[in-house]
Amino acid sequence: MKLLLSFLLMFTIFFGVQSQTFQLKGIVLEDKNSRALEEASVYIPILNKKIITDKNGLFDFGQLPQSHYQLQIEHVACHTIELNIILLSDTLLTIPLITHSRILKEVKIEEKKLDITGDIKKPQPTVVKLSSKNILDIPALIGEKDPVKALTLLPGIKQPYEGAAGIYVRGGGPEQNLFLLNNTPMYHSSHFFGLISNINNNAITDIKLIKGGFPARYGGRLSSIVDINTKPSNYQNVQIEGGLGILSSNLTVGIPVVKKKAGLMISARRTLLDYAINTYKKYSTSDNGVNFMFYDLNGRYDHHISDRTQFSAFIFTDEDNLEISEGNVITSTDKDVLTQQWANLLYGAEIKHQFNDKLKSSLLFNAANYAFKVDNLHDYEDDKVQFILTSKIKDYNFINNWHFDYSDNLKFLLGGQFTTHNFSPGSVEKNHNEVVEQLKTIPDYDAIDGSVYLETEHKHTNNLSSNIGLRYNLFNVNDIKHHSIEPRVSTKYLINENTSLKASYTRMQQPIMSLSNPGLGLPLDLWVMTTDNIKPMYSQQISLGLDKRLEFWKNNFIFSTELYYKPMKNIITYKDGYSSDNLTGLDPLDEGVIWEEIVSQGNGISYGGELLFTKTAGDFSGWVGYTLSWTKAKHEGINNDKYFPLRYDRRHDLSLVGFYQLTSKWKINFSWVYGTGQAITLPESVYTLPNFDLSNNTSGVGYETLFIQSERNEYRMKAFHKLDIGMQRTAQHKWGESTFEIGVYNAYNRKNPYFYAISSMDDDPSSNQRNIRSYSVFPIIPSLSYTFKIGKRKKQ
Amino acid sequence: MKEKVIIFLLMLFFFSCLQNETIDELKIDAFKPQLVVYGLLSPEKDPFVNVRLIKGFEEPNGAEEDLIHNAEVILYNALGEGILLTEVDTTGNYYADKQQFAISKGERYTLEVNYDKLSVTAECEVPVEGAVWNSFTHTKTYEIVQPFYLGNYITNIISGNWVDVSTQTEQYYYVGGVDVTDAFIATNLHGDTIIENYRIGFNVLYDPYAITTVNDTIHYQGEISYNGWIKGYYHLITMEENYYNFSVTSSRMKNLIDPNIGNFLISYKGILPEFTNIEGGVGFFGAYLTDSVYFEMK
Repeated sequence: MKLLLSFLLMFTIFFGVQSQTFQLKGIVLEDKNSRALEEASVYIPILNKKIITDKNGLFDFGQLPQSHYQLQIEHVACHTIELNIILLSDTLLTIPLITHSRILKEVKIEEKKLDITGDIKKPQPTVVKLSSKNILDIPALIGEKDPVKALTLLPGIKQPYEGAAGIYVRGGGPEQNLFLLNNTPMYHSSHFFGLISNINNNAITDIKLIKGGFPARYGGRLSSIVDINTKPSNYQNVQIEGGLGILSSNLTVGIPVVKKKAGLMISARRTLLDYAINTYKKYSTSDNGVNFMFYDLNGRYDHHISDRTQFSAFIFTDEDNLEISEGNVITSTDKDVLTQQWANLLYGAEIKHQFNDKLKSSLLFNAANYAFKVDNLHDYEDDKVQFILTSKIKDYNFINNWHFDYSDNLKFLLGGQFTTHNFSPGSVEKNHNEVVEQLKTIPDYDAIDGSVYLETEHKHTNNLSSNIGLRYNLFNVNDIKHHSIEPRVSTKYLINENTSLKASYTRMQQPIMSLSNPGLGLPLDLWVMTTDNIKPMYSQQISLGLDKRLEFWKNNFIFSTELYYKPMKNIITYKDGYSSDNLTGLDPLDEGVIWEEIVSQGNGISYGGELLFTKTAGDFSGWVGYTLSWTKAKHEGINNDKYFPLRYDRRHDLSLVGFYQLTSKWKINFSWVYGTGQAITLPESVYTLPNFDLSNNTSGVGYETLFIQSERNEYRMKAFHKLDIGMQRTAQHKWGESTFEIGVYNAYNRKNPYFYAISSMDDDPSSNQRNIRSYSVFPIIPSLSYTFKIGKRKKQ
Repeated sequence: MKEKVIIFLLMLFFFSCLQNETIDELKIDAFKPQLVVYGLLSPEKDPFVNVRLIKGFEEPNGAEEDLIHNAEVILYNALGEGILLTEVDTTGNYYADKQQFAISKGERYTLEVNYDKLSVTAECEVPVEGAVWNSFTHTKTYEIVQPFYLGNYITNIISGNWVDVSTQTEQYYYVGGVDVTDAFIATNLHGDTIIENYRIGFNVLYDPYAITTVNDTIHYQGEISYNGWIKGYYHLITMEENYYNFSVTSSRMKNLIDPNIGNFLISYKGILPEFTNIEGGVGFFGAYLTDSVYFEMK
């Protein structure tokens, strides 16, 4: 309360202060399409002041004395420019920047391309960021440019298994990552059975992942915040982008609605493989087969109401549909169809208002809907029996933030968030010829989740700065209240112009959690929440780091290292022998099973060190990332109550990523990754159980295979490594730009293990000798893709 | 030079269209060979024990499993009177004559198996009371001719119920089983008539839609969907707790790891706590009671 009163007092003092200077502000645009550029840096050397543009490309230096100023404007995707102005009155600047591709056509220059770790001088969280342009340069599986997978090439962020679009961050499970699309939580973030993420790279500006030193405005997950923003709309002219690929095709359209005032962006992506499969099926006599479809759609509307007020609204929807059918279309209409669907619907609106050069506010409303459904239809001589499993989530969020810049050295953010959750984890119903019977239901949960938070960004001296915050969360479910006070501290000490030390401490709470199946298979994550018997999960994280811009080769190298220690409490997993089947299946053994009774909460620890060495500019750019880490957990009743390594415990993880501009048109990119094999539980031996003939009390026909297990996750899969290569040819046309890319996934055809299975020796099923084999499912895979951008280009 | 790099990469791309499958073997820790013992007792039936020896995956021949032919298998009753079971075939099955060693309801038995330097023991108690059929019916529901299928397809619905006599303390559980004995006549693809003994042991434990319970009466409805059934017995089995617990574990293990891609997509149940009451080995030593009903297909 004292802190709040101090804040209000400073607020009052501020309004009593007047100045005789002039205001300098403006907007930075991408020249080619006049789209606002977020995170452009506007620097005035004489004042040693730097401002980063917001999502709408706006910057504001506030009141400055009348004088001559030189401005340096930089953006990762554009050529740096310098601008000289004489400030004689309140000034609003419009600054267009030229993108790299245009510069390359004319003359090659040294430009800044990669900015993964951000400003080494700023007391910011442990964050990694990739722009959509960086992501385009990274080779991808089947040509799909995937922002989430691109993140896994950075230290501390791992793929769960080959091809997967999920992430493990600093020893945390996939459910410990909060995906925010325009500040709206996304509960399902993949397509195609988890092989690619549902984030369409053409629809976003960048993807940012915070893995430590979380600012107080973020909460609700233990391990990371994945912050994704869709592209702001284009106010100036129509622009069309699109692409054709093996797995999906996409189209993005930017349309000015009111010139220089309002614009609309729509981006759609869809697989076309289902059309190909359906065409094949027309000529087939059998209904047997598999079909799948996925799409995603992003839409955003921006309205520049005034220089001080902006409004934006967005919508995102996606769906995955897998269908497996059996039947015979010639002889009858009988069929057996299994359908699985995953779908998100997110939407929201935000209004931002700048009251004066020190105070601005934003008000945001959004909604997140997620649904998962399994539908199994048996149609036999018009006798239809259908089993339907559904799992749903509905969230509504209100967020209000106030930014108050007391001075250049002291800034505040005060905000609050109010969320209502409605979770329907799972229900199973039977529909027999339109007679519906409810077979099984995990109870619905309604909860209210409220937070208030305060952040202060304080530059104590020229060398020492900090971001200190506090977040209070109240989670109310079934009239049981869970309180959480979460301090957040992040500091940075600038040793010299090119070197900084950083340290952070954070406490995070997670009251909602996902039950993920403990192995491979179709992704079936059931979202549940804290109850009377299940406690919220907590984590603390301490990290220490060093960032250094190396003083050779035009300062184009940045070296970052960080050590972290993260204890976790109440992390949740299925008990041994249980999975979602026990909650959603219809096995009589599971009759009356309550989800809280088949899960276990325990404690975990993750610690390690991360290194990132980045070459930020030049014909050749890229990075080397390395992580050394340990992750283990202890659950009562599991593994004899001993610590065991978690599946995503990965001792060594190395990634090399490079981009080489061969000519003005050709570019080569590659990535090579190496990781210690995944921790896995394997049987140490197998034996057979004969069927018994109980009428005569002897052994009968047939048998089952049983296993003698090792300790949990006692073994390791083979080490994982692969090389991906891509080549891009970019061409400029009168109508715009096109890029043709060929790529090779797993170029040297490494047989990385995907799963292990028991097999008979020498492939003889009758053999009583068995071994364990690994199966590899991603051999060398070539890909082709073509993308284009159509847009009005200004004459130079 | 740059053109050569481009040409090299293009060649790599086209040669990369080759695809390969699998496979490597995995080395794991040494595993001490163990005896697997399955022992089953039931009143009015010969005591039966099956003995096997298993080795670990690290062995040159992999996880080999051998049926043991010269084990010493001894069964003791509560009075300490023992009988040596003898192997009557080469399937690792050992029996004692029920005339020489009778199994009684409610009595406790001890099993001892010695082979080479390995020795295991186990105990179990035969249930005091077994469930009996209250009613039993079967009806033929439909007959279909499917062109590409083997002959006609007949489904018979089996219905029955019994009173639940289980208690938590005694840990009695039920399984209804079908076991068709005697001659089973089937028609094969070429129209020849063959006669064979065909036995099926399935129990309602694994049949998702078979059981409903009203008050203390358990109702069962199952299907026999095989062509050519003519007569048989339908058994109601009351299992002793060790047999039951082992059955539960084994049914859950079925989907644990399976190289079949179809099953691979079924969610994986993680690590299963194994159940055994064989001290020093694996398997189980259990007992059951049976109530049977004879039926003939119409």
